[in-house]
Amino acid sequence: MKIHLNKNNCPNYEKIKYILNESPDLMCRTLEVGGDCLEVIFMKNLIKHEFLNEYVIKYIQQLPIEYITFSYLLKNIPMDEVKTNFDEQEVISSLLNGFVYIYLSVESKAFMVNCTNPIERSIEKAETESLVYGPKISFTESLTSNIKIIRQNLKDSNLCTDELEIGERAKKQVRIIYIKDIADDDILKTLKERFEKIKTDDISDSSVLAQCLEDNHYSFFPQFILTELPDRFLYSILNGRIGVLIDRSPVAIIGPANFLSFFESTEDIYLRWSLSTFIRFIRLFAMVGSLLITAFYVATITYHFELIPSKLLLIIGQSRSQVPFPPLLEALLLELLIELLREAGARLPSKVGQTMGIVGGIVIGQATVEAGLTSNILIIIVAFSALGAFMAPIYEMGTAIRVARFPFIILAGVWGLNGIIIGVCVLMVHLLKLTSLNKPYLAPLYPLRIEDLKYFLIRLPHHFYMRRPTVNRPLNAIRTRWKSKKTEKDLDEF
Amino acid sequence: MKSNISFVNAYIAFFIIHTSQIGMGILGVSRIIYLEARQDAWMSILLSGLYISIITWIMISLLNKYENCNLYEIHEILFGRFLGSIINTFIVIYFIAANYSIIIGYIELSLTWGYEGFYEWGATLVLLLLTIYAVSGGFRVIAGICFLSFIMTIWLVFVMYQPLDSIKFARILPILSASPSELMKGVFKSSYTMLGFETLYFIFPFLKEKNKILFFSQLAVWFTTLLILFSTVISILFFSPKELERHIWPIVSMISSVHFPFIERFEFIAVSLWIIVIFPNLCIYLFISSKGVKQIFHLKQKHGIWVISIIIFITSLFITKRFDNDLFFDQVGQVGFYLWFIYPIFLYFISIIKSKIFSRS
Amino acid sequence: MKKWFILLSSLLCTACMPPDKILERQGISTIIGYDLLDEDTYKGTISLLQFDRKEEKTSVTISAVGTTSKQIRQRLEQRTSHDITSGQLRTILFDKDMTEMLGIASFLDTMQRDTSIGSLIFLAITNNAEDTINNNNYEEFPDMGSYIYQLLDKHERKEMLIDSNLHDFFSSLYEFGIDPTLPIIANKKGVAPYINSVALFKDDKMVGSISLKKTLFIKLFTKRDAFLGDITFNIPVEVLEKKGVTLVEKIKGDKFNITIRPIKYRGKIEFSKEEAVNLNANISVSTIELQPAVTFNNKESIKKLEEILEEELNKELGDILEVFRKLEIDPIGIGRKIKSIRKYSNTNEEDLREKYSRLKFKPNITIEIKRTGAVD
Repeated sequence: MKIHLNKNNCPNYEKIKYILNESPDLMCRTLEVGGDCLEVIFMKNLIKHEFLNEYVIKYIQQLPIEYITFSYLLKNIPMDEVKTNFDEQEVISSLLNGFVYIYLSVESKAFMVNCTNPIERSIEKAETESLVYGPKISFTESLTSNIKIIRQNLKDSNLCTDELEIGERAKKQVRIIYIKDIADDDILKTLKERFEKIKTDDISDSSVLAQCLEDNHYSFFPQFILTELPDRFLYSILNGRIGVLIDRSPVAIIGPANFLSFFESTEDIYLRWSLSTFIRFIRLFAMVGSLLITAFYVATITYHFELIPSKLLLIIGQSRSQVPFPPLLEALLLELLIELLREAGARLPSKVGQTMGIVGGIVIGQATVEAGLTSNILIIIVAFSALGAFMAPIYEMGTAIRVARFPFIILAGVWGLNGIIIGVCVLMVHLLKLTSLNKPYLAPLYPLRIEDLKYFLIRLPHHFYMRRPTVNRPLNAIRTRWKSKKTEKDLDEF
Repeated sequence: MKSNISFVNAYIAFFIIHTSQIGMGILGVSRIIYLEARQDAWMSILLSGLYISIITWIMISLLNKYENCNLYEIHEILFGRFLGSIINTFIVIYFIAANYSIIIGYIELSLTWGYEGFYEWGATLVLLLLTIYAVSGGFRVIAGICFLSFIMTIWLVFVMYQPLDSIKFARILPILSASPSELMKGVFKSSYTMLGFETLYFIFPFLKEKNKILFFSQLAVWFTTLLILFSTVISILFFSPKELERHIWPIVSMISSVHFPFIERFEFIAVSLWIIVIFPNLCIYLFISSKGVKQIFHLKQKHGIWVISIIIFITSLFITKRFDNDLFFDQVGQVGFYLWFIYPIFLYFISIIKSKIFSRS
Repeated sequence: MKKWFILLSSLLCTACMPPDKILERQGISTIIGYDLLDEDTYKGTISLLQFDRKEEKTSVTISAVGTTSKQIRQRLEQRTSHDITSGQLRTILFDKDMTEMLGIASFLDTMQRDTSIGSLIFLAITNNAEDTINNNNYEEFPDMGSYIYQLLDKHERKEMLIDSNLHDFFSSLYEFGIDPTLPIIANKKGVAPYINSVALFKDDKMVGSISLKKTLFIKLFTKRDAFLGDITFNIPVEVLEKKGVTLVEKIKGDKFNITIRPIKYRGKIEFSKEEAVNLNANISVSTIELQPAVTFNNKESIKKLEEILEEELNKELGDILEVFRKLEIDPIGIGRKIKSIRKYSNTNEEDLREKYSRLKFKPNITIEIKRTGAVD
């Protein structure tokens, strides 16, 4: 190709090459058209070569010379996305996005065509949020296919996908997705203001973006729902929330979130109401238990042995009798051990991970008890609290609970039951202070909206869900108009 | 009048008033009134509740005349800046004292039940920091605390089904054996427990739907009265007379006969949970007193709460004896009685007279 | 600056910890017994739980001598490596001599003052507290304290004992118009301790005792839904014949034995104007054992049988009330009932006792045979 290179002929190429720091990927193909030449500049790794060969080079070469003009090519080149009117900066970023730059030296005019070859993986089952029931499709890293999934599931002309770009250096496409006649304008405005405030080089993933958009950066608790399930995403959007998708990330952001929405799973809607209500209560119970039960153990053993029923007293006492550490240290040690096992299990390849679980659970657990380093009652308690933290359907909430457990254990070890209650008070105040996109975090509980509790706390049969939850202040509140087919019949009628 | 006020719904008035009435007082009130009115103590409570409900009505009619003003501002309007500030200072001191009495009251209870050997100043510091953290969130957070604290502790009432097993109805008979003056003394002594409705004077500007506030505040006052009535009746029926006279916190002693198969000695848990009960009291009183400081000295509220807390902390280093505490609660109750049981009536008439004079001239 | 201040003060807060009471370092006493040695020296015995897994024994008993309960405790403390705590105390035993001569109120005051002691612990009287606690024949794991607790708890729920926990004792002790009662535990060599009878108190001193069976009359009027326990009668055949109860077959022996089980009851003390007290009670029963097994052939006979049983019970109640009056005690709470009447509401204790000794009692128990089991 270098043969065709002529310094005088290709000023654009030189300039671009200079800006791109002599990138070896930059290619320039010069086509002889009559006496003149036509430059085709592109990044060789970023384009789909068939497109360039078939629809650009071959097409131009077939044309009679008189048709090779800027206006004719612009109108007739068989590519879907063609750009004109760009400045120098845009040329570079478009090239880096997989565009091909075509320059006609006769008319000194140029245009760009899109030959992008994005890396895509096929659409697969969701990994982190697995469902037993219901659709299992998950988002992928490609924004286009994510938009495709959303559009296909929700064919509504009011579905807006506003485009934004973020990142000074590594520009990334961001889409704000909402339904125009449902989502509240205030929330949308707040979200867009937040975006304007982000001035950064690079946003590596949607979870990073979510952390940048948060109201309180110091909080333990996630303030946006992160999900990879399109059906959860759509369910939230239809209830008046706003979603954000970012290119190169399979995880979508949904906001505003409230505390209880981290304990709902889309599965709850698919299952019968009685079961899903029960499961929701179990989740909340598990959350509270996971947060407090180890702390309660530490407090009782350290300060309030009066509370232990007489039947249990001897069992706990005997299992504690060999332990050389104070209860606080014992509990912290065991909690750390569990976290260690979890982390190691998550990092290791899945086959080894399973063995780790067995080794950790059985061997280490058994051995520590036999060696008298911990009491077996505590092992049960710690195992329960570890399980409880995994009950939260949103992974981030589970991690928040796992971390928040430690201050409670320390408070219990220092001040006993009063310490736990003080911890609960601090937590209560913190959750009350917290907002997500300026909407209260504890929303349906406080400010109390009784009719919303059926969405967030319990599930009822479907005909109760006529209106959308009011916490997100939907513009269009009516969800379904349930037609009651029931006619009153007497007992002896059919 | 003000644009930067955050409004909350009227029903929150119920939670704020109720939770600021229930606090340390209810634990000991049955004994205190029993000492005055014997087995008719419960009547004193009812009378007291009736009286408060009338006072609340008077308070709301006054507040409706000065829409969106709290008591501090009304004082300045009625008496002028100088005289108003003097009265306001007095009120601020009252609220600081009330706040302090709750803190030491709780600490005393907690030291008796399982925390012997804990430093009083340490506990005061913890409670104060907790309160500061909450109050710095503003009125919306305080209202939320009142609401959540109510939800988290109201179930303690149902624990009382266990003491119900060993009550003796003969103990409350004969009804109406106390003389009217004894009943009135009972009403007077109940003031420390019943106080808290005065917060209405200060939260009124923050509430939406002003026409519903009367309903919710009456509901709160009667709910509190019934709760205190219930606890008093149960403790009269549960304890024999001399026993009731001995116990400082009859309700806690009564809960000590509660036990579950999975937990013995429930009173230890109840005493710890009581932090959540007094928490709204502390927050509201600190908020109101710092608001007063802002009104008088133009000190920002977020600095005011620190100043007040430091004052309380320093005072807590001095009063530590059981006997002193008792005297202090009594005094707070007495001042509170004159300030909030009697004074609102005067204030109402003064405002009527003043508005008549103005309309004539 | 503010953040640093908060951090600093939180650290300061965590620095002041209450003294800890870690479970396995506590000598957890489940039972404590006091014996009178001399005029004012007592011997205290406690049973402590042993948590060591390697030891076979799960409890250890130690005793010490002193003048007040806290002094005894202090001396007990010298003999063990653990801190003696009473948070799990379930039973207090008193020596019989002590309760008869000196009274136990002074000992119990500290129990009420000490918040680590709950108000649900049982009080009981025994001949020698030390021996009772040292008795090794207990069926209940792990120690004597738990055994006696289970024993008393079971009897309170199921059998013939009147409530005898700390709160109940205090509330009758401090109320004039009713006198407390406590169970007496018998301790014999080679057998586990058992409940023998019920002690009657005047103020805080024991003045007499009644058998377990007779506590039924006290329960009848003081509790609303207690378990009365089965009642057995031995009726001579002549009485039956005299009454005219006709049985289907003739009885061979000379006694007719019947056991009834109360299902429901309702007792009421009524104070009538002429210084007389009606003790009305109505008991619905089912017959659970008849010796010999006979069948009543008509309604009439059942009614007559009921009358015989009523007479028997009323006689017993009359007798027991006379015993109470002789001892100048009032465990049924007649005085409390009198006091609740407006006319007498201001009577002081002396007058009440005096009035009690002059009262006429009219026992009036009615029995209704409701069920007879699966056969007639």
